[in-house]
Amino acid sequence: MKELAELALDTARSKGASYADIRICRYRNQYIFGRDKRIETVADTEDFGFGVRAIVNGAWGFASSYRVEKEEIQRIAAMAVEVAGASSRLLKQPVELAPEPAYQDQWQSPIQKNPFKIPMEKKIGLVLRINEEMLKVEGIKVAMTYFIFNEMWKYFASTDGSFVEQDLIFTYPQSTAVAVGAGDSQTRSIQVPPEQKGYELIESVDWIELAKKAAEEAVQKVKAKQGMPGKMDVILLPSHLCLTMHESIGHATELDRALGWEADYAGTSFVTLDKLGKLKYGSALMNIVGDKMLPNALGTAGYDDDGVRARRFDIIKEGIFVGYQTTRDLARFVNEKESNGCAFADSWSSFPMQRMPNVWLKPGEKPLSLEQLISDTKEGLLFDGMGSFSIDHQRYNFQFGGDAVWEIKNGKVGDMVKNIAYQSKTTDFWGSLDAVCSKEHWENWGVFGCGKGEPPQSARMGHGSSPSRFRQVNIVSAGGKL
Amino acid sequence: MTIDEKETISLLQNIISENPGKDMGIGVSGRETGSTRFANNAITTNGVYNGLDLYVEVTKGKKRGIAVINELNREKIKEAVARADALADVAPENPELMPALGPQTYPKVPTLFYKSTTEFSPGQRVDSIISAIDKGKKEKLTSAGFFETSSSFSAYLNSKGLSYYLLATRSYFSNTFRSSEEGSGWASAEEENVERVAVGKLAEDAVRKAIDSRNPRPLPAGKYTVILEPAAVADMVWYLLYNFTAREADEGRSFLSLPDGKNRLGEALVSPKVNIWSDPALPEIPAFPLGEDGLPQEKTVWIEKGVIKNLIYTRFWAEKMGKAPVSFPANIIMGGENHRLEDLIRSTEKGLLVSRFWYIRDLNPMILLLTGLTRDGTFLIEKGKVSHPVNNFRFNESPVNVLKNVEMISQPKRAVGGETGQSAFVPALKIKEFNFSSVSDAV
Repeated sequence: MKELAELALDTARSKGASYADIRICRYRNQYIFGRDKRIETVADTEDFGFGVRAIVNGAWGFASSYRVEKEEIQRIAAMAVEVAGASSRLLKQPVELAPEPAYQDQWQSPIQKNPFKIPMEKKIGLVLRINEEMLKVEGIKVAMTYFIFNEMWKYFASTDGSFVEQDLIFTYPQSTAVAVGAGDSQTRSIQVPPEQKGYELIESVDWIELAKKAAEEAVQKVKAKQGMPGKMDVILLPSHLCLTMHESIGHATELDRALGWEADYAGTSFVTLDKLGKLKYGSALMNIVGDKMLPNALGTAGYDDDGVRARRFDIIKEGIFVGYQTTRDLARFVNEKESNGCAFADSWSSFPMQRMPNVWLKPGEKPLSLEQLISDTKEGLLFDGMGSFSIDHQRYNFQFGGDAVWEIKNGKVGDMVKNIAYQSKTTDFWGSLDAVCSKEHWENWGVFGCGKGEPPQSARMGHGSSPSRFRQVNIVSAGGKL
Repeated sequence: MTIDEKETISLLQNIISENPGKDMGIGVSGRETGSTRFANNAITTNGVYNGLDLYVEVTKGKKRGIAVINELNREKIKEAVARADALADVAPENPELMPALGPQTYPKVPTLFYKSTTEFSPGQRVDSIISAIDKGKKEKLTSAGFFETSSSFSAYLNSKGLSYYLLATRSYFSNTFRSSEEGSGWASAEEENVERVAVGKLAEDAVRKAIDSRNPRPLPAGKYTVILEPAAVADMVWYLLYNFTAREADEGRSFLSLPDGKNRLGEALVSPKVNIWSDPALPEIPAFPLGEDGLPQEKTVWIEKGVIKNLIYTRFWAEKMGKAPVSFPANIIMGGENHRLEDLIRSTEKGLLVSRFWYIRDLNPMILLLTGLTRDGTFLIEKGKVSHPVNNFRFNESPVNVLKNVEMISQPKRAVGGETGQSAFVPALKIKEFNFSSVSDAV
């Protein structure tokens, strides 16, 4: 690979590039989808190719191809330079890359069992067994389970002298029971987070027990009372808080958004550059970290797609916004000397852009369990899992539902409620954070398919937290009749 | 990346003939894309992207395995066939698996392939972008946007003789202009022929919206008469049809469900003013005439005078329910009336003009309740005139209610949904009692 990579870099340099890099990538996916007592899809996919980035006269160019051959690499490297030349006609500020040492290194996900080496029969058998267990529960109409296993092998080389090989493996199980009854239908999913793990993730869970529980809760949800609007304290479990953090903090603190680079598509951010170091984002309990090093998290890697070594940095410290997510070409806009290592491309054919690393909430320092937090809450709602989600293009106004929601009355978990969501403004919401459980209760959750960019790219990242409480949040009802 | 029809079909035939006696289907698709992105009045990324996939499915009775690769050498192809074959061996029987189709006859549709689009160069994209940016600069606006042109092909052959080869080009231009006085405007277009992408007009439209939406005044949430521009209507209608599946309705888990496993097919669901259909042959928004598994697809009426005329029936569900299969919509067309957008505004005593929606998600599938937000220009209409810009809103509303509450319809045009990113040939709609649930501070 090194020889092919050097050929691309030499070609780009000889054509006039001041900087170039190449990523040669092979992706492998296995997808098993079971509906009820049958397997609907068993698929195995592979995707191999390379992309070359070049800077000419301070402008980026990119070209890619699936033919990983010497002549094609030369052609594509020359094309990346040509495209950069076209871009440089409309240049406002030349690209400047924050310095980064050259690395010759290898990195791989710390997995225990390669999921691709586990016999397919075994995986199929478990998918069917989970569905079967769900269908045993009266009132379950449909059971759906899928397992996705994904490997990203990447070889990165740059004219700065880096040659880095990485092999990342992900496991994403998802299982949902659909209950139907009395003119209603509700779903409930097994709550197991996707992680950068091998088949050991699947084996660490008692799926049969969880399938039965999810199915029973789906049926309970059909029978549950409608949620009522009003102001209420909410306790959010890590399985739920994951997505709220992703949308209201993760995307809002992306520097490319703050600079307007996403204005035509995903939007900009209310966290404008003048707010760095000043904005009171939330209560003093709010400590948010950007992190490419968190073990087993979805956004973890040895290096990002700029070739920057993985690191950890503060985004929000004691409620104050202190740091953006950056890449090598973004760092200078906030006077940073180094990138925070947040470049990612979802394919060899995609241009690396600023993508969220793992963005997670630090646990509370004082010992606090979920049970203690619930018993300390007179009246409220407990949210588990992800439901409906929507947020505006500057990340102010959001609305989130849950996979399951229960009432809390006089310090105890009560009845389930359905068709309910909370709606708030980002800084009001995080300002109402008044309790975060301690580290024993911290869980590593994540988002597997986050879209951004034009052309759109999909990324994955971790959002761990401990159960947390927010006071007097606006609750909206999603019930009603047609 | 495109391979010509003869070469592609010959590649597929070779694979089939090298595996005699196998029930298999082979697909190959490729694309070549050039795209340029700009922001803050300058280009941010510019690239050329190639892709190719070979899809192999092997079926053994009611068992099927699938493998996908993108390396077209003999060894890899052989490996992919072996992999799909092995997966078919271990896959349990799927009683819902329908047999592969034999040769089909497809209706004629207008071409979706334009040489002008394939020949459009990075330099031409940059020229267009410069012209758009200049229009904004003159008004002291900051621009961002995206221009993409692509060509693609898709071919399929199975051992029963079903075969097709599809060739298409696509051009997509989108631009957003933002003002330092809290204004924002957006316009976009998708066309097969790049020559029909009117960059100058799209830039002018977005610039005008950015100027008109400056300094929005506060307005509380609540129920308002709204005029939805075609981009907002495209999203609403697409969301409706995403959920037009008979199976979910029959299984009791959709807004189209009725007791005892029945559904609302034949019911007057929305206003009699509403007519929605798909037609791959419509020149303004042509589509491939292919549906599920390669079934031919002709004009399909979904809603006629407010009555549901068709639901999506997969081949399996259709057979089970004794119906003919109806594939997912090839495109969306909504009938209009002889009015212009200006006529809808003129007829409105008090209401809101909505340019587009953003971040739409399901809230409750049993009533098809959706949530989402307005973006890039929301205006108060008073006494038949656009009075002034107002803040953005979140809505919690169902497209069923939207189409029930239609009061007036403009002539349709091709528009791209701001959320779905999908084109539709739809009018602007005047709707009463549209539910905005909260205010958004976003500009």
